[in-house]
Amino acid sequence: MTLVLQSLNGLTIAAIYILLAAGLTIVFGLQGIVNIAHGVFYMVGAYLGVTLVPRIGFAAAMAVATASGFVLGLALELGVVRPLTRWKRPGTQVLVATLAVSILASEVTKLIWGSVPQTSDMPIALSGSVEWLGLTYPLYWLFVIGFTVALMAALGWIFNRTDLGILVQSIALDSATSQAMGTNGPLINTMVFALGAAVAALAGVLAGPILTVYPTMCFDLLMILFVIVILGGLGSLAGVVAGGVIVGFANTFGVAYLTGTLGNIAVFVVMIVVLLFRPLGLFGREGILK
Amino acid sequence: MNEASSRARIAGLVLVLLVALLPVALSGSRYAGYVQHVVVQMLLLGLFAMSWDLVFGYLGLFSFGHAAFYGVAGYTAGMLVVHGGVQSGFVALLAGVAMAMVVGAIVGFLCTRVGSVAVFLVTFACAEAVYLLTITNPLGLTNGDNGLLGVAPKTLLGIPLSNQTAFYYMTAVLVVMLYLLLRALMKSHFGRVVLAIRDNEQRVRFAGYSVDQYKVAVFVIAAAYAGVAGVLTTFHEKIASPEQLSWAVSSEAVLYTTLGGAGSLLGPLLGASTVILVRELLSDYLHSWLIFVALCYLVLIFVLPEGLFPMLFARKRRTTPPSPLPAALHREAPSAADIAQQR
Repeated sequence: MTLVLQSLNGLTIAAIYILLAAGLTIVFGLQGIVNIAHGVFYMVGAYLGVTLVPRIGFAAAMAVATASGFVLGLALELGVVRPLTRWKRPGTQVLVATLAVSILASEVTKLIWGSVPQTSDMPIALSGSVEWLGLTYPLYWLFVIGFTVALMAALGWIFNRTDLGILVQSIALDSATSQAMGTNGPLINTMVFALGAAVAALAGVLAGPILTVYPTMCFDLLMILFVIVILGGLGSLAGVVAGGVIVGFANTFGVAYLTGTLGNIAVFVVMIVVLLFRPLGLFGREGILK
Repeated sequence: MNEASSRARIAGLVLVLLVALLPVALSGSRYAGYVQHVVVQMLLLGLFAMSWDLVFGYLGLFSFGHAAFYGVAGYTAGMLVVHGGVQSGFVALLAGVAMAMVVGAIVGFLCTRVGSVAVFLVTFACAEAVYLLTITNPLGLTNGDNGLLGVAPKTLLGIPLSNQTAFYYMTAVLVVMLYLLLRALMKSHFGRVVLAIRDNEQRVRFAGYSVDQYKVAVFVIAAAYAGVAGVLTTFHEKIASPEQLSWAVSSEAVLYTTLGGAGSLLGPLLGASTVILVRELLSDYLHSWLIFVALCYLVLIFVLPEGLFPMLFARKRRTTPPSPLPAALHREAPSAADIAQQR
């Protein structure tokens, strides 16, 4: 019985990870941008949830956070990432610049919301629990899983089945040729970046009632997200789902049956092993990690 | 010798003199202890950043796990002093540096097995694993979150470490000597091969060099330098704490080197000194020091990407600045040579 509950916990954590890694797998995996500030969108989303859910309700908070994430993503891409890549600066400068943005965001968050960890409220309609076959499980956690499944299905459909998704992939695979065919590469890259940011902010609102919300959270999940992206294979949404589930389960069962930190160390060992022996990950075709 | 290079030499001499005379000038003043403490911090963090610059500026690999070398060395020395009752600072220093070199060899070996972008992730993951292992307090050795307190060996090669002025001069002499040694090494045949690997790894491979051995060697040397900085910091602060292993320490090396200028060895020292000096002068007046730092770096990346050192002592660069992630960032149409390479 506890095994089923633990599995559900693992899936819920995995759902949050998957939403966060979805943007990263495209931006890092296909565009080759090491964006340390990806966690910032998640953090902003989570804090908007803390502030807005009691005032305007959960659904509206989700909408506001998604829109804010999109705008922040646009600002970061147009203001920092795009100029540096256009000037052909080394990728490490983008890394340092986004690191600076993260530090800045983390400190500003501390000024606005304080350093004390918080949690946000659940939507009232989902605050109950479900009983089935003698098991009791919070409804909200099931909602998070279901929502993620629906959203990832939609994203996967857009990415793999629509013209827009194919254009995104073509830009990533061979930017010059794709642009010679008339694709507006920079616009598509910016939009994908902002979309990833919006999904991360949305994940922040969803995670608020489950995980704690604190000003350095934008750094703490970063490594796990890179692990998921690499494990799944760069640029693959299906890979993110698989990687997210593996890491989510490893994390949950690691914390339950080993100690918390040993479980986390296992995650890093897994990543190093994957990088050494299968740098393409589970679903990767080709990528920057040759 | 051109004008800029002689200017750099004069500036260097002035700085060495300044560091040498500072305690004399301040002796008896109530600031003496404070100033010495701050200068030792500058020197040690500068040495640490110099180690990072060796890997980034010379080998062209972006390490995000330098804290591992720094912290492992500090903890090894700390454990010997606290648990082993070692009184000789020299023995603890040697053991710490040796342990850092072992970790450097392992990390370096892993880095030879992956592409240049993945180096960032592998080094980061290694450092995080070491950090997490340390805070679990294995066998009660590391004292978990609190760190090892009271790491205070009596002497180092006869130098009494409790005497602050002695510690100051020892650190200054050591850092200058280590810098000169590293500069000589990077001007030797070895250093030229390392630079060549940065600029075109494949060609060096074709020329018959064992690139992987050179990479591991650079990581081992860098780890030794970071290790010296780590052990001396532990002796200076009298504590080995988990913060010395956190990724924030790794990012400090990155920021100092970015500010000072990569690929110059002295740039990181300049960057570290500048940041610490400004921090000491301004932190009382600033609402948030980190916001100030982050804004400064954002501005710097845009207007002065090469850093301070090349701006002040602009020798004509023999080599292009390092760019470990270029292929990933600028996906242009492959040239005929690239296509030929792939086949």
